[in-house]
Amino acid sequence: MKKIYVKEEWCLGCHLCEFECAYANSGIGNIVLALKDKEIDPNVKVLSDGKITFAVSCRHCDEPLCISACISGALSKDETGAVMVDKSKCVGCGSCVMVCPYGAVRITKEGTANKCQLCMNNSCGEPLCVKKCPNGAIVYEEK
Amino acid sequence: MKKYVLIGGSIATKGAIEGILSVDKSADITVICGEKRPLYSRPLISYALEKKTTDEKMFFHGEDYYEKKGVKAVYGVAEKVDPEEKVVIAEGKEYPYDELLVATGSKPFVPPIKGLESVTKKHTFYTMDDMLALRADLEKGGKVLIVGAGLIGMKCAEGVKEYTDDIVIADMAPRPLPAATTPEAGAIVQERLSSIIDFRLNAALDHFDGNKAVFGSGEEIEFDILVLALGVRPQVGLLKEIGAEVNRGIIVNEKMQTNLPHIYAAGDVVESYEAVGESKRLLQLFPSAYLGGKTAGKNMAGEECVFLTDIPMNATNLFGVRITSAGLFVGEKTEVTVGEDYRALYAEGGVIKGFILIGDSTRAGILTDFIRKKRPIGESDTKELLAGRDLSVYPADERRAALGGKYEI
Ligand SMILES: Cc1cc2nc3c(=O)[nH]c(=O)nc-3n(C[C@H](O)[C@H](O)[C@H](O)COP(=O)(O)OP(=O)(O)OC[C@H]3O[C@@H](n4cnc5c(N)ncnc54)[C@H](O)[C@@H]3O)c2cc1C
Ligand code: SF4
Ligand code: SF4
Repeated sequence: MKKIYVKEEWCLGCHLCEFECAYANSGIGNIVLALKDKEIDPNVKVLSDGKITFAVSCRHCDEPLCISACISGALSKDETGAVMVDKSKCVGCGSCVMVCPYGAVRITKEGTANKCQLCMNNSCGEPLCVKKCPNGAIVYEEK
Repeated sequence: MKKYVLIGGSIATKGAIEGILSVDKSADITVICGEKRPLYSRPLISYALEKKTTDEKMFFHGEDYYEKKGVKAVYGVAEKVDPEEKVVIAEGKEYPYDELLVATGSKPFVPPIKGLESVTKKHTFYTMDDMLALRADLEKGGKVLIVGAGLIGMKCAEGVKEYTDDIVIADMAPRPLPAATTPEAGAIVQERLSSIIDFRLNAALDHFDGNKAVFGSGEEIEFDILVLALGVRPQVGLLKEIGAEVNRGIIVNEKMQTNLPHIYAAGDVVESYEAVGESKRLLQLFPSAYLGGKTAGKNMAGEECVFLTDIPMNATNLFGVRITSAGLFVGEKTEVTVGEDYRALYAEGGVIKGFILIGDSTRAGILTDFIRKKRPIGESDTKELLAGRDLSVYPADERRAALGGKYEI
């Protein structure tokens, strides 16, 4: 399947992907209206080990531990292999957070799980972080 | 076409179906479902009682899950396994198998208590039927006594709260969640919940007298509805009577094979390999049941596969208090408090053995991964690991491989 891969040596640490992610998932058509004065809670996070920065989002694992732990069926693989979240089923137990080895799924303020769904659940249709990364540090390709 | 019979019809069975089908697309699978219901998620019963989910959504992969997977469902109880003839007898019919999985799970433990027969409205809390029966009584109103402050009793209480505030939880133990927490963490949970829950701890039940519970101390508690949540016991009978190796649970190897040929077992019913203690034990957890079932399924279908990374772990939210733990609470303890949150990490010989977090659990899976992989803590400071952990704590090559795509767990 097509997945997001990170070329960390190209990452500028500019955090633009975080803002683009928040915009893509806001459901609002204008980036200013979507983000102005708002605290963002994006599905991609730019982290640093002190030497280098890198963008972390869900790896859409082949055998996702989050799905094996999910008690509600809110997490499932779609036909392409992407791991999707059905918020209406989630009971917020946090089992997915307890097992994801990448820290890539979280419980939001709404009390349900959320994570990168490759922009398949919004109007972008392809990952906006990849499209907007100014230095090509995030790519969306077949393995 | 290979014939697979799976006895159970719950989480471990689901894992096995998915394991078998990932290897053998033309598998002929029959599931014998003792609860006479389509597949549902057991942990959701408290959420359904609490109206945080619906009865319909408890069938967490659809009421037609078995049909979608092309599996034959027999709604009934398996009475006997004949390992010579390789058949299972259920509801008077014979079901021949090439490979058999026993995933009969566990059953609430109800000890003989004097006077229990004189209690009019008594319940256990394990199945969907249990939940529906309890709900029917709760809807008529009345005072509730829950005996057992373990995870099931506490989750039940959360559901019961939706119907009445008149509720007491009693336990012999000195604190709630005695098995899933440490004394320190249990005390915090107790303190946070004491304004919501009327606890009677260190309270040994002596007997019932009609709708009155009498404790060893002489204290009496009157109630209308009783819930007994005193733990669960593996249902090992089917295999025990044909000579399987059984301790508290059915003993399986790392492929989830029993000592009997072509017979596998997984889920709450087994004692299987646990990676922190490096020994076999009962785990009785949802992810263990699913992954153990999946391992069994793959092996049954002919793909060699071992399950060596199972560990105890639990995440739950009780009346808004989030409790997340994994591994064993052994070795040297590091504790930190961040605002309202309590966090403790246990390490020995440079590896993390366990942790418990009360409150925020953000990226807890990174700690869990350290435990499962026995990854050395190395330079990382245990306090920092507890304060805020993220992918940057992994060795750089491992992180690069994970994000760059050459590495899959
Ligand atoms: C209220 C509650 C909350 C829980 N919350 C959590 C949680 O948050 N996290 C977690 O990890 N775990 C949780 N658990 C535990 C988890 O549900 C179990 O570990 C899991 O269901 C075990 O799955 P299993 O398939 O092994 O067996 P079970 O779910 O016990 O199912 C076994 C099935 O086998 C059937 N059966 C037995 N004998 C026969 C027979 N002879 N013939 C045919 N069928 C038979 C039974 O009727 C039953 O339906 C919770 C449990 C409860 C009750
Ligand atoms: S949330 Fe975590 S475990 Fe689940 S698919 Fe994404 S990276 Fe894998
Ligand atoms: S928090 Fe939601 S998505 Fe995560 S395991 Fe629990 S029910 Fe599933």
